[in-house]
Amino acid sequence: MTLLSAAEVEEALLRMKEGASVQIGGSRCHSTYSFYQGQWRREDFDESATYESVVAESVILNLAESEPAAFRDLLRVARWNRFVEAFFAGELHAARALLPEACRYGDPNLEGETWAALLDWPATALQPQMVERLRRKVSGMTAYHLFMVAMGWKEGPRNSSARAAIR
Amino acid sequence: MLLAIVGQVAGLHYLRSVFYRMAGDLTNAEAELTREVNGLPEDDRRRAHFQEMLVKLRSKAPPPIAGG
Repeated sequence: MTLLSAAEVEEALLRMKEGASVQIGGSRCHSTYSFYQGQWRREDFDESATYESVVAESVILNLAESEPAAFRDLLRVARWNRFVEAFFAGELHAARALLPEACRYGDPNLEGETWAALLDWPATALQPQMVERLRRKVSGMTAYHLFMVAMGWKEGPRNSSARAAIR
Repeated sequence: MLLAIVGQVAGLHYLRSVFYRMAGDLTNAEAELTREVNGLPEDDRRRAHFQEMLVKLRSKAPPPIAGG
C-alpha cells in the first residue's frame, strides 16, 4: 500500500470538490464520500437502507491515508479523461502522448497498454500476444468496450474516433 | 484498422456495424451486421441475437430509394 503525497491528496480532494466521489466497501454495504453544497458528506448504504451525514474534512484526510487506493483511482480517472478528450476529438497523436500519464496511477484492464500498441501501429508492429488479445476481444464481443472506454462512453455522429475505427 | 490487425474474425463485422450506427450511417451498419450474421455457422448461439438487432436496425433505417 503506497501512501499518497500531500500534493496527490490535495488533487484528489479537488477532484471530489468537482463532483467525484470515493466509495469504500462492497456493492451491498458501502460508504460513499463526496462534496456537495459546500460540505463533505458520507452516505452509508447497507442492503438498500441509506444513512447520510455531514463529515469534517479531517475524516476525508484520514480516509485518504487509510484507503489510498480509492483516492488514487480519482487521480487515474482524471488523467485517463484527458486521453479520452483527445481520442474522442480524433487527435490521435495527442492522445498517444497522453497515455503514459493516463496510466501513471494504474491500467487495471490493460486498456492503456492496448491503446498504446494500437496507436503506435503500423509504425511499430504489434506483438503476437497483443494481436491474440485483440482477436479474443473481437470474437468475444468485448472490443466494443475497449473503444468505448477510450471514448468515455460517449457516442454520436460527431465521434471522430468511431469514424476512424471503421475506415 | 482492426481488420488489418486481426484479420477476419467472428465479431468484426458486428463491431464495424456498431461504429457505423454510432456515426449515423444506418445503411452501412445494416450491411455490416448482415455480413456478421451470414458469416456465422447455422447453429451459432449469437445468430438469433444479431438477427434481432438487424430487425431493430432496419426499423430505424430510412426506406430504400425506389429504383436506386
